[in-house]
Amino acid sequence: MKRKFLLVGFALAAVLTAFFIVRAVMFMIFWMDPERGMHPVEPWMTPRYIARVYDIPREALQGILALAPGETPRVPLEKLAAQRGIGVEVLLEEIQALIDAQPPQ
Amino acid sequence: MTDTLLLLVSDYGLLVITLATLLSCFALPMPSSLMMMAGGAFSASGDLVLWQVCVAAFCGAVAGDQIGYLMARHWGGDRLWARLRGRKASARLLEQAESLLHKRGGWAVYLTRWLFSPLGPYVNLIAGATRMSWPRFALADLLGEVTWVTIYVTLGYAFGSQIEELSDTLGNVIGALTAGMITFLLGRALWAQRRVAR
Repeated sequence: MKRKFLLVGFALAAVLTAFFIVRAVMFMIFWMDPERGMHPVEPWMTPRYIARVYDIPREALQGILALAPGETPRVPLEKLAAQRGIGVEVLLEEIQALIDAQPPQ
Repeated sequence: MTDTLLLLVSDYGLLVITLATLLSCFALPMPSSLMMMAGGAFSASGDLVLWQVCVAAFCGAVAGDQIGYLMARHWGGDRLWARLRGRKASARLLEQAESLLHKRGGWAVYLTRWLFSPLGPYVNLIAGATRMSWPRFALADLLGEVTWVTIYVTLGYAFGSQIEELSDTLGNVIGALTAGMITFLLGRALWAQRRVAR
């Protein structure tokens, strides 16, 4: 009886292992693709984070976000949009356009 | 779900990171590694301070582990364990687990902090229920959590741009390692039984 439990546990664990290995390999393939591109801009990101990760000038970003020069609060885009009474999609689109307009490195 | 949690990190900062690592010690489905990476990424851009992120994550994790251990040890976990050990059906398995923990408990605690992290919450409970020596548990726990926090915060700091994909990748690698280790242990137990049966 106990052996039966062990066998079932063993089979389950083996299936889980295979599942995770397949998923991990899929992610490896993703990382190996040089054309994988950047993660899109998301509502949780902050002005400084966006400027650093997407390598865009802070001044241009401050223009879009209606921030004073030198002002980079630790506030996510979603909250900045709410403070201005606009939808966060508007900001996301404008920032994405700014990123796309950057010369490729 | 992950976006909401990341929003919490950028909005509330350190406190959320502490809460995430604390809750993950109770086997709650909390992507605490992703949130530590977010903390690292926000430190790289200057929104948070690196050492504060590390301390916040570390304090939450260690507090959670200690609570798990102490609860199991003092709130009847040890009595439950003793009763289960008295039963014929479970006695041998539990005895084996206990002797393994007695011999290699330090390593078990250390490695389940970061490498086999899904097992961490249960190892805390078993360590408390079997009355593993507290200094030994605490030392292995501290070292393990330092390793865990350092790996993920550094990765977030260095990578920044694709923390969600990175966290998913590592989650699957850790899953494969943990499930693989359990498969190996169960396979070994089956093998030993086969030899006894002969």
